[in-house]
Amino acid sequence: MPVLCLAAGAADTERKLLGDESDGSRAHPLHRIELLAAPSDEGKDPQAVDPNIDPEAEVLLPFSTRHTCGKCHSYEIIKKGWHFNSVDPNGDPGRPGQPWLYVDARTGTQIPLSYRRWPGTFRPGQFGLTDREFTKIFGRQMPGGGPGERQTQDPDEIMRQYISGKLDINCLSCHNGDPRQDQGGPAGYAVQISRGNFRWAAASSSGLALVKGSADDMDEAYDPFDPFAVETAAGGRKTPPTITYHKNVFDHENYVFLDILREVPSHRCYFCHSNLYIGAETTEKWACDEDIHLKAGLTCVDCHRNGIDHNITRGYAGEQETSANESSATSSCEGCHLGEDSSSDPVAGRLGAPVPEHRGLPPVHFERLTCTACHSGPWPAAEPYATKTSMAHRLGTPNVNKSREMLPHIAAPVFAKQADGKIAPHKLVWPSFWGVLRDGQVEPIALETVTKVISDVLAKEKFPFSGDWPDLTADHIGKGLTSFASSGSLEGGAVYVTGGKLYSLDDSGRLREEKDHPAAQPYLWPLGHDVRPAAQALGVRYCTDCHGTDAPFFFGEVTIDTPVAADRQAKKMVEFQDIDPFYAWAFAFSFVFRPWMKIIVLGSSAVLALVLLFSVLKALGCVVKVLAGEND
Amino acid sequence: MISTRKRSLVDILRILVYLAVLLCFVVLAVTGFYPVLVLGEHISGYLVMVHATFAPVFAVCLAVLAVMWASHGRFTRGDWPWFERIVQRVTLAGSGHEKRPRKSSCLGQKITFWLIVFLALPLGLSIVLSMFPLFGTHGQELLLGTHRYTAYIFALIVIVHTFLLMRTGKK
Repeated sequence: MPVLCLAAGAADTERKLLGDESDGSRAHPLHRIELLAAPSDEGKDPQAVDPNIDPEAEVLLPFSTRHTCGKCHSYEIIKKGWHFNSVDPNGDPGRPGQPWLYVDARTGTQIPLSYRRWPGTFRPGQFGLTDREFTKIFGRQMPGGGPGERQTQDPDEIMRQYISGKLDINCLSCHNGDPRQDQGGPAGYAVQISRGNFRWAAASSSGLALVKGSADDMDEAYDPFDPFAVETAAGGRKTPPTITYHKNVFDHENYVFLDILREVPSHRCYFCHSNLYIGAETTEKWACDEDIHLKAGLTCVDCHRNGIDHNITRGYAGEQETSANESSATSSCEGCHLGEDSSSDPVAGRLGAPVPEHRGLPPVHFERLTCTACHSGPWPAAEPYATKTSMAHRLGTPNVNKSREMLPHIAAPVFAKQADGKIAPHKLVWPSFWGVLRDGQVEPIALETVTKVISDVLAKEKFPFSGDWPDLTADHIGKGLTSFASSGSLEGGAVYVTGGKLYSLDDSGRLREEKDHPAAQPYLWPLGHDVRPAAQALGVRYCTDCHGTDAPFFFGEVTIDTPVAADRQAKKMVEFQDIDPFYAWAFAFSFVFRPWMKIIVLGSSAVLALVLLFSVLKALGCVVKVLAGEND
Repeated sequence: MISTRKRSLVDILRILVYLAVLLCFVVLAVTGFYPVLVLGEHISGYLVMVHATFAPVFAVCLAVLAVMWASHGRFTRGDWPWFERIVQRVTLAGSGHEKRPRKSSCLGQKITFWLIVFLALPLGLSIVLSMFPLFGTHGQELLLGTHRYTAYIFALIVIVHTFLLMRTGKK
């Protein structure tokens, strides 16, 4: 039965559309709907996709999720949700999260980028990336919207945006239950993004159609809505983007069945949110266990919930203070397992979550540590694991370099102190980039300039096939900085940030390095997954899981990642925790004597108890004698 | 008047143990009460290490003290004459012997001594039991609270005991 909708025009957020609010039924509504394509002019109405068009009169267009899904679900509300609102200057950035990492071994660059105001990241515009360029590089693991949808202000890109189209929020990236949803295949979402086929990406990945060609290959005069232009371009050497819907997709009324799931399957989330912790023996995902919550039968969206506003809960403690999501308080670790203290009703144990006893754990740990410190990520080893993530390493997309050393280099878990003072496990990346020092602040030099200058400097160096850093020396850095200085195009002194150091040239042109410069600090973001089972929590064996003189929690070695080979030293984990290293060692050392202390105190208590017992018994004896009249 | 009586080895040991207990008590009281009462936070850092170092020494010395002083702390007739009178009235028993002059009873010292011995048990056991995987979070908080409030009372009694001891010593 076709879904009846109110009129489109989701800009009126006060009027709810049919799909904005559930009537309470947990059944899945059937989506047999017409597909709507975006018009060439935003002032016009969207067109229903008809596969039987006359190709000489019309161009077969890809359907637009904005117009198709937006007919019943308020697009303007949805686009304010967490996954799509990174470019909203008024959006609350929340806790620091995973940045987008631009890497280029040929220029010694590994820089964290984000539109959100997370300290330690840079906005793509600061790095010389326009929204379009950013989307082309990173849109592979974005669900659309955000920078891909913003109207460009760059006059050089206006025509390119017209040809490519805007990258609508791709609802199907998450909500398509069809196993043919193709995010990472040879013609899937990621590939279409890389070709500049923003308008076609959602349709191509939906499993309903195939898209060939590339918008980026077309010249700026190309009009994708002009049948003549499309046909002319198709006859050339470079193929324009064209869509072919699969047979039998449309029924007799040109409606299409979409298998839409409100509850996003976990494997959809995994396309953008997979992690791979690479150990000495563990290099593939089959050797790693999944999150215990998933193995217990939960899905990602059982905890990470949202309504039509798509203001999804991120699930960290304290999120309720800034999030408008009403379930944010109960969706954190404590919220599910322990319930809210303020609630008058029993709310612990949601979704079957066991209520933890934490036997033998002094309560001070709950003030100093997050839940994830003991329960999340891989079991700490002497060094953090080399870590790959979907967002950073393009996991699941074609032609991924699977080598262990492939940039960017992310290390996890690194136990560090958060802004709230608690120690939590983090992922860590050491930024390396060329920048300009102005008023004590470092701004990255635009990518185009860096590529031009530094590629010449490093042209003769060998770059590993593994995608790892080349082995740079101070001489390379000096030459690079000298090249920037001599170009005269920079306002301020050129610097190179890498491995926790800031390199610059002094007045005499000699290279100098500054350790622990604020701009050279590693960027860390807390990790929440994968959660280990309770039997694998830190401390389950004994206190020395953490409070041991060689325990990784405090004394693990975090290698400083940098292309400068001589600077690849290590820092102790405790240095990220704002704790005196000697104190950490001394406290850990005291645990050697803890069993003795227990025995001594228990033994002393036994002696005291015996003294008391004998004395009481003796006193009783005296009283009995007195009462019996046997006065002494 | 300074006693010229030669002290035996046991007496010397007794005094040394007593001084050791006193020293340990002062250290434990300072390291335990300062962060809680003054700073308003949990004991942590080097303070907790010092506290945990002196605690077993304190426990051992207290146990030795209890053994050494138990006989001295035995309540005698001279301590509670009013209790003896009540018992005699109740049992209609006569004293059976001539009245003895009352000795200086040090009743307060004896009472505080036995209270110290008694309170040392929950004081020590509450914290050592928390180091075993026996009690969950609520139990841990209960044990910690027991340790804290027992310590408060214990400290007060130690102060009273010391005061009475000093007063008796002056006499």
